[in-house]
Amino acid sequence: MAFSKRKRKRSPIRLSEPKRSNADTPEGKLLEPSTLTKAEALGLHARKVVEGAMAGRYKSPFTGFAIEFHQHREYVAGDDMRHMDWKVFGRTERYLIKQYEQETNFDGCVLLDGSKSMQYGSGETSKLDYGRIIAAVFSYLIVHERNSLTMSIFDTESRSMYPKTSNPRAMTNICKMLMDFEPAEQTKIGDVLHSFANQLKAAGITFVISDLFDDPEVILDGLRHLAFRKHEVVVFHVMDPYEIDFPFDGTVEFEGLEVAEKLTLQPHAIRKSYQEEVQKFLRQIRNGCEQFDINYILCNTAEPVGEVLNRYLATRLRVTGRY
Amino acid sequence: MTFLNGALLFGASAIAIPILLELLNRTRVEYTKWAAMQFLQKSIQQHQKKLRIEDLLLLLIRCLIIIMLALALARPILPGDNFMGLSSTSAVLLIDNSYSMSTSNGVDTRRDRARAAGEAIVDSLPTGSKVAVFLISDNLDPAISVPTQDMSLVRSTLRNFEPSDQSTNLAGPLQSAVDLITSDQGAKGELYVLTDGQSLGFRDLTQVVNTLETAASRFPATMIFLGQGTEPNLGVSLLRPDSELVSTRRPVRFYVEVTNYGNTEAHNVKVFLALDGGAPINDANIELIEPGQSKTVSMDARLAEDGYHTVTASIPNDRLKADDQRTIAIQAHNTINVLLVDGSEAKEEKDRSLFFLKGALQPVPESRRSEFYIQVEDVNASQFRAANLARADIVVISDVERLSSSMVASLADFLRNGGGLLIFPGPKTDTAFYNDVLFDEYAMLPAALYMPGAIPNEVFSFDARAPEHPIPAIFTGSSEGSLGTALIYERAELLPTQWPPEEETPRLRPEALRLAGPPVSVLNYSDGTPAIMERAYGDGRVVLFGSTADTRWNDFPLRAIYLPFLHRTIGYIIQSQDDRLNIRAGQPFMLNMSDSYADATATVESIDKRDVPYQESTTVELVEGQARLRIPNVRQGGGYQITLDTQPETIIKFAAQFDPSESRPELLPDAQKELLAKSAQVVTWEQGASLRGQMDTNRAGTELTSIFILLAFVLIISETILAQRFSRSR
Repeated sequence: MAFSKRKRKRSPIRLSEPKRSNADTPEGKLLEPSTLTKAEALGLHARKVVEGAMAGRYKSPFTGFAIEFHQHREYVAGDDMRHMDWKVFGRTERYLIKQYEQETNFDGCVLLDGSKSMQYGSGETSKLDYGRIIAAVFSYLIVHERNSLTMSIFDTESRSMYPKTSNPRAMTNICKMLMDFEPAEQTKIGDVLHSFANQLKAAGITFVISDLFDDPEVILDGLRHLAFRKHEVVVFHVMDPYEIDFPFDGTVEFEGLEVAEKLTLQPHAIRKSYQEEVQKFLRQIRNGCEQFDINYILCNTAEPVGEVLNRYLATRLRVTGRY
Repeated sequence: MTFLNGALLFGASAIAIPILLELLNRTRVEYTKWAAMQFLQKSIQQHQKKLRIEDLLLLLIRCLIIIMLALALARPILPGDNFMGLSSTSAVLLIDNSYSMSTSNGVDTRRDRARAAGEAIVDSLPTGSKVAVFLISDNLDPAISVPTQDMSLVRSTLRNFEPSDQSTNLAGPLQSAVDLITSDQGAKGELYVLTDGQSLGFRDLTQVVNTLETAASRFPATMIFLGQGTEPNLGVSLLRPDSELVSTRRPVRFYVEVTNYGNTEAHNVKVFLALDGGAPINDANIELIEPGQSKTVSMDARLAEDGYHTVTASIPNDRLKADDQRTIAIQAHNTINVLLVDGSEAKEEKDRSLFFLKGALQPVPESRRSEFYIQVEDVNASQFRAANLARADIVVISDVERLSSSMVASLADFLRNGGGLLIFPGPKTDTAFYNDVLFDEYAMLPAALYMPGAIPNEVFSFDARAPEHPIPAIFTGSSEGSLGTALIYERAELLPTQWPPEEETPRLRPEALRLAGPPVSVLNYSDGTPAIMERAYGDGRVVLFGSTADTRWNDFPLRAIYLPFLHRTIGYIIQSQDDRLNIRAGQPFMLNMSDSYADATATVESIDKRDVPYQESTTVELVEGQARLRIPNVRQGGGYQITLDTQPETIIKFAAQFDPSESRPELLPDAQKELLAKSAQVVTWEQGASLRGQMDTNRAGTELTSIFILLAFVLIISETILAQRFSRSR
């Protein structure tokens, strides 16, 4: 017999007033007030029940013996007798074991692609800058909810890593780490995701922020690995508008950021085929993500990062139906 | 294919522009760092081959556009009416070969320019064209009469055609050429007339224009004028002996007329006289010749031997050398033998009908008669034999009743070979014989005779007011010594008939029709009827008087003018023989000879020094029973010597004269050129100018300019569409 779980009314996530930090500080640069205010209002809700080491507002997927009763089940040999509900036994003579729904904090991981390809930006904002903001925002949201955060900037491997923390004060260092990072290598995102997935010990949520310029199959394999490790995976695919539309004219020599190769060509001549290739790649990534229930958000750096995040959070709220 | 603006073909080198632009575009590179190399590589791999083909296609089209535009600007001409065919054209070159074309500007002659222009035209002709070449002056001389594709022959002809000293009159030769080339119904082509444009050649301008208009539909003409300005020019316009009777027994005075054809005065003009192509034997100086004026000087020369001689008068060479010397041929006579045939048979010398005439022929004392240059032999009519004719130059028949048939035939031969005959009627004259035999059958007499008999108180006189005939021409005026003083009491009326006869005259001998010339009135009576008539007969001449040679019917022998008139008549007949020796340049030289010369080989050489010596060989041929020496193609002026291979050798000399009017330097005025331009393309060409382009303009062919422009337009549209399509597809 199943008991209806007791619902706790949760207040929307209300992020405390963010620090009005100096714009010159890394925190100030990354956590724009307007972005954070909107994100704060919407709150951050894990779509899945996550497992956390700390009790909090997030439901643990593990029904255990902690704080909140969840349901009864038949006793089976070997069960701890301490969890026997003797009152029920008194009334019904049935041996039922009480199960509890444990409210717990989750492990949030933010993985930012720090390869050289992220340096590209047709306008003032490079993909890396864009990704830094996304990474900072989610880091802020995670730690402000007292969830644990692991921050990593990677290329072929993890280059900068901020160890697990739930201390909001760590944001300063996290942001500093984000700002100080200088790309130096090319991407091997697949390997990195596999490596990171292998390190995961508990379920959680992983934000992958990258341009995903790697073999799509390898990328998807890594993402699937993360999802397999019971992590909700959210992919922020950061693309520059020029990388999508390819609006160059004349003769242009393209020098690879990650590969030592130069291609001189007339972009108008291959624009259409380029766009087809890009769309094919995006389709492949998107379909691969959907197939494994991975959130995929395409971020065009021409679009303000706040709008992208708000749209994501709103969508997330609509899907979960709760905060 | 030819091009009107061939130089603009260099515009085709502009195809380098798109190629350079392409290369420049490749070098004008914008550099950018780029992350999404993987997509570029895939796109390039997928489209590289296609892109290369498309780029090459566009580059090719752009290059073709430039080539088409360059070709259009170069105005290509495809010969023939058929666009795709390679039909050639048939060009007919008419080259003015008159001696004015020898005019030099100090560098080259107009003839040199004609040769160069002719070659330029040949060069401009499409492959496979045919060319005919005619030399024109006052006649048409076909150098290549049948159009040929052998261009080396054409070029050789153009370079080496023999210059002539003929004058120009384009109308006739042009008409002949047009008739010739249009006689082929299917013939079509181009007609080019290369001339110095001397006004004289266009004196029949209307006929020239009409001829060109007639030919225009099938042979559109191009007149190419090669003359430039007027060069100063002096020319020997006349050379003549002062007497018709040239004898070795006395010096001969020659008159030389020099004309200044230029626009400036000529001072101290030296005139030289030479004999038989030798060094000058006499000279004279003319101090001043005004522009357009002529001055005459006289120089004496003694001809040492009787026979043929050439006399050359010359002046120092100027820009037109052809008229700087003139040569005439004369026959010097040691004696002139006159045979007097008297029919009166009077016993007394003074009663003979030729008494006065004999005295007049030898107006010297009896002791000197044997040395006089006119020797007389008189015979009675009954003793007149053919043998007498062999020794005579001139025969005088007076009051002879009639002649035997054989004598008539002998006389005809005598005349045909250049003898002279004077006939005086008299009381014994049988007019029926004269009219039937000598007039109707042999046509020796210039007129029939009619004896009306004496009419009392009727007296006739000569009309001496303005006689035109050369014999009485100098005897003008009304003084006591004029012809008008002679009185004629009785006469035989001279009744000439139409010649050649319009109606068939069965009695007329066929050869007479050929030998006899038209009757000419020498002198008329005051009533207008002919008193003396003459006609040519073969190479000889017959003079018929209408009254007696003595005083029976007139008092002419008693008049002072009788003697000079008689001598002038004798001289006229002798000179007529010399006339045969002087031909106009371009005409054939013909001389009737006795039958003994038949089949003799004649070698003809020029006497004067020339750049290219003239030498020809021919044979004396029998033509209709007459031995005749004919030398065609004597185009250059000067003296010629004919050597007949007889035993001993026979030497004959003759001279070709140029027409002095050709020396006039006036060129065709622009107004008349404009008139010509209505029926022909008129081009004034200077050496070095592009004649080819102007020829191509006029050529009956297809100008492909519009086609190339159209092609360029189509290519531009194609390029635009393809460029847009390629761009969209990428």
